[in-house]
Amino acid sequence: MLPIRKIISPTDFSELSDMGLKAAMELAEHFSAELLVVHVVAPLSAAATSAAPAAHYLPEIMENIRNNAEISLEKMMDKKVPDNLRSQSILLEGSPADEIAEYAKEVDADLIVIATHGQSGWRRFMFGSVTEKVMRLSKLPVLIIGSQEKG
Amino acid sequence: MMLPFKKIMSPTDFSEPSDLALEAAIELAEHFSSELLLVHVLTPISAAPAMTGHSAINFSEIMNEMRTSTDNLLNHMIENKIPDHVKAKSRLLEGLPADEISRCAGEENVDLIVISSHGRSGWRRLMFGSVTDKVIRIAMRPVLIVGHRDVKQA
Repeated sequence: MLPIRKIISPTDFSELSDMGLKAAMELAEHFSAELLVVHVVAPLSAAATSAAPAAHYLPEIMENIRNNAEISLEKMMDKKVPDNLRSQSILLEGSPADEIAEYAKEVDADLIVIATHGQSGWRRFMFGSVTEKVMRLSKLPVLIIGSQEKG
Repeated sequence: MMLPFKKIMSPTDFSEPSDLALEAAIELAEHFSSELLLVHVLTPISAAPAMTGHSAINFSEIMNEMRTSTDNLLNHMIENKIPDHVKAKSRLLEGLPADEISRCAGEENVDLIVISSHGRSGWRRLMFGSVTDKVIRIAMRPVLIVGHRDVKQA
């Protein structure tokens, strides 16, 4: 389990994933580990692709989404991740849980830190399902941060 | 702030995967000088048999025996698997595993729960796996899920 040298913090820019990032930063600082902040852009659905008139613009739209995600990531890193932490941001494309698990394996990460909602509801459905799938897919230790973290 | 981890809970179902989670919990407890709390949840014998009034079997006696032997098992684990310099204690709980683990985590105010992603193979995998899922949902404190050893071994 120890030492922890590389920590993955997936983000979807939500408040919830910010909580995961906070915990990941604390651990990265404590262990002098490298922090890898990962965002996954999901490709446009096949349904959209087949819509004839729109299809023409799809590559452009995807490019736009990618650029925006890149900018959001950079902004977030600037604003939330202190300079003294060794960190980098990574933009991936595909199915979020699969990409996160695969990337973690690829870079030989030691820990994935991810937040989840305790309650049910659509937010749990959205981010929670990614969290659960990452847990299932990844053989690495996964630290789950509940939404009602105590102070 | 999440750190420091002053108290780490390690639930066990005495399976090999939960031993791996315990190993991770020990490593972290050593690193953070945390107190380690080893817990096991006994599921009470179902109410159905108790309804047969004249049964020769004394269920409360059986439960008592289970309590005693499980307690011994926990103490044995503390003596044999946890290094002496790690401050450790065990608690034997009774009821629904995930609910009891979460309740006890709150009661003991643990900072981290280290739990395996699954228990033994077969139905236990399903069972302990779902315990883990439920703990994540209801414990409301950081949960470290430790999976398979085959991929990464420090």
